Amino acid sequence: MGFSVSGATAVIFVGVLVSAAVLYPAVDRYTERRSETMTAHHENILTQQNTAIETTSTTYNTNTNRLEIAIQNAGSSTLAVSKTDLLIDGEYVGLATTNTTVANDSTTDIWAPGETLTITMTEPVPPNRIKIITGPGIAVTESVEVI
Amino acid sequence: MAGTSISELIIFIAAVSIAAAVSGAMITTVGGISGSLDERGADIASDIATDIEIISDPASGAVYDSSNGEVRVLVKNTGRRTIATEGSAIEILIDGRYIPSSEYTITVLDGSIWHDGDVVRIVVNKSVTSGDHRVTVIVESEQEILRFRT
Repeated sequence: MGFSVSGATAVIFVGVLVSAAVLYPAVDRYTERRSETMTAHHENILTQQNTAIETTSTTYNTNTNRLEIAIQNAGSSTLAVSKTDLLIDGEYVGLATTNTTVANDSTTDIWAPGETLTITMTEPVPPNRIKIITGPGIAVTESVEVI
Repeated sequence: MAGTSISELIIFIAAVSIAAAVSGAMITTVGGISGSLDERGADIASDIATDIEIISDPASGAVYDSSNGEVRVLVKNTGRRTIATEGSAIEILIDGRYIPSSEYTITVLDGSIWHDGDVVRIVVNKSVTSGDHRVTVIVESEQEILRFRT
């Protein structure tokens, strides 16, 4: 009887050890993955909270048919020009490097805090309103001044 | 004497066999739990990394095209992962009513894959009456609502 109990206990003990060895890495991966994702998510929220933009001028020149938009990065996070979108009267307009400049540089993708992004577009008719959307999703809407 | 030994041997074999069966079941169950935990972790990570923003300008009048009976919504991927535009990854509700995927088209603007930072145009073939309306775009557990008037 003594051998039977000892043998059974030993087999159960081995089973518990194997189970723990299988379960522990899975729990470890789960907590690590969750923690990493939450950290990245919190960083995203922080970037959103630190993002602010202000339009300094939005004018349409009827002589040249040119729409000029100047937007200042009024937040503390650095934005990407390539991830900035423009809507003219609600219609999406793709921004190319040829019609964007940051601090007189048309090749840069970096839109640092305090710098002004200037967008120049040729539009056949004067638009009523524009909307600028930054990479983190912070947007500003402005009426167009026709001159 | 020999009878007692045989009895003890049988009891020993029976006890060890039952213990082995219990251990085997336990290991199999724990293995299943580990697999589920891995899948759940991946799902949660993907869910948290998903974020969208409806960027349409509701006051511009471009959200509803009355001549074609189309609701047009621009949605930006503000998360940290690429979102599939095929299949049932994106779901649309208009005024709380589910729109089947056959009634809308999704076009990635400036590309073919909806990477983070990219914008998609969703065109829903649905006429709406004049008044206030609401479009809901759902991607995984992320939900964004746009209210507009026609």
